Amino acid sequence: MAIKQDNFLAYYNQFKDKIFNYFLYRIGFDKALAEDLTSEVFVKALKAFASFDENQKFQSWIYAIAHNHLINHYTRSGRATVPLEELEDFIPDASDNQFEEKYEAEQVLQVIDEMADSDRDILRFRFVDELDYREIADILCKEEGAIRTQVSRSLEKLRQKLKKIQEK
Amino acid sequence: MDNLEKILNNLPKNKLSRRADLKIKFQLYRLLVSAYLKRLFIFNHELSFFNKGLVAAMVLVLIFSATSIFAYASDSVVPGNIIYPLKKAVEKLEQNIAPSKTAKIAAYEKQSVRRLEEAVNLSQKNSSTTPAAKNVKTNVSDNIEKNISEVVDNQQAVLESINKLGDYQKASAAAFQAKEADKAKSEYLDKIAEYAELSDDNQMLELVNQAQNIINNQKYKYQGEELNDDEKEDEQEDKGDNHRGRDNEGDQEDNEADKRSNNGYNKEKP
Repeated sequence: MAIKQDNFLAYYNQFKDKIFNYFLYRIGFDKALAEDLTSEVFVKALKAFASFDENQKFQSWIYAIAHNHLINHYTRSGRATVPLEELEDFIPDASDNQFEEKYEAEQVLQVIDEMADSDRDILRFRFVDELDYREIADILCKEEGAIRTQVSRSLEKLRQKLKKIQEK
Repeated sequence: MDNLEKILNNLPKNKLSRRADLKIKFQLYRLLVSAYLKRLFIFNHELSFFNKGLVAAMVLVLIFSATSIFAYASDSVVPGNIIYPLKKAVEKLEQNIAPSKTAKIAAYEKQSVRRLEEAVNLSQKNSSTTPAAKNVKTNVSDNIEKNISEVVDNQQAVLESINKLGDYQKASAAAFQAKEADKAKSEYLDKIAEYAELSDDNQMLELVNQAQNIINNQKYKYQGEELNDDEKEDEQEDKGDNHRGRDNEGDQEDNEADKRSNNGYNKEKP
C-alpha cells in the first residue's frame, strides 16, 4: 500500500498541470478556483487510490474524476462563461506579428465556449487536454469510433461558426 | 480560418503556481501520514485487543486449573462446598482418561477412599449438638449418606471390572489392591460410626453397618472364580499355571472378612 501511495505522488507531479488546465479552460479561466478544484480532485483521487487498477491508464482515471468533479461544481455553482477580459489576460501578450494569432485564439476559445455542451467538451478534451480518442472514449464511456466522428463534426461546426463570424 | 487545428493545438497551457502546488502537496502528505497512522493504530488496537483477550483467557485458565487442583487435592472440599462439583468433575475425568482397566479400578478405589475421608470430615461437623445446627446437620447427614452410597456403588463397579479384566494375574493384583483399599475404607467407616454414635444417629449407624458388611464380605472374582491374597502369592510363584482348583481360598477370604466384621464394624444400635 505504501508503494502504491508513493506512486500517487509521482502521478500527481506528472498530471497536476494538466488537471489545472482542464479546470482553467472550463471555469472561465479563474486561476484560484482552478487551483482549488485541482486540489480537491487530487485529494479525492488519493482517497480512492486503493481502488485504482494499475492496469488502467492513470490519465484516464484522473480525468474521469476531474470530469465528475466539474459536473458537481457546475451543479453547485452553475457554469461560468468565458469573459473576454479574462481571455485577454489568459492568452499571453504577443509580439506584433503574433497579434493576429492571439486574436484568433481568443476568438476560437470564445466560440467554443458558446457551442453545445457535447461539442465543447469533446473539443476541449481533444485540443486543450490533448487526450487521444481512446482516453476521451474512456472518460465519456463511449466507443472510440464515435468519439473520432464526434471530434470531426464538432471541429467542422467550429470552423463554420468562425467562418460566419469572419464574414460579418 | 484555415489554420484552425494549429490554433487549437497551440492553445496556451498554464502551470499550477508553486504556491498552489505546495499547498496541494501538503494536503496529500497530510492524508498519507494520517492514513499510515490510522493503519498503525488499527494494527496496535487489534494487537492490544488480541493481547488483552489472550491474557484474560490465560488468567481464566490459570484460575480454573488452580481451583481444580485445589479441589481435587483437598479433603476439606466436601459435599456442599461451592467447588465440590469441580472436584467430582476432575475425578470423573481421571476415571475417563485412565490408560488401562487396572488404572480405572485404582481410580474407583481412590475415589471411594476420598468419599469416606469427606464423610469423616462431615461426620465431625455433624457431631455438633447445638439445636441451631439442626437443619445443617440434616444436610450434612444427607451428604454423608450420599458419599457412603457412592462407595458401595464403586465397590460393585470394582467387582465387575476385576471380573472382566481379561488377565488372571492382573485381576489377582487388582483384587489385592482392592482388599488393601477395603481395609482403609473399613477404618474410615469405623470413624463415621463413632461420630454417629456420639450424635445418636441410628440411621447413620445402620447405613455404616450395611456398608461395612458389603465391604468386608466383598469377594473379588475373575471370570466367576474367586480371588484372594494367598492366590495372588501363589500366582506370583507359579505364573501362568492353572488357577482353578484352589478350594480353600474363598474360605480364607471369608474368614478375614468375618474377623473384620467381629472387630466392631457391625455395631449394634444403642
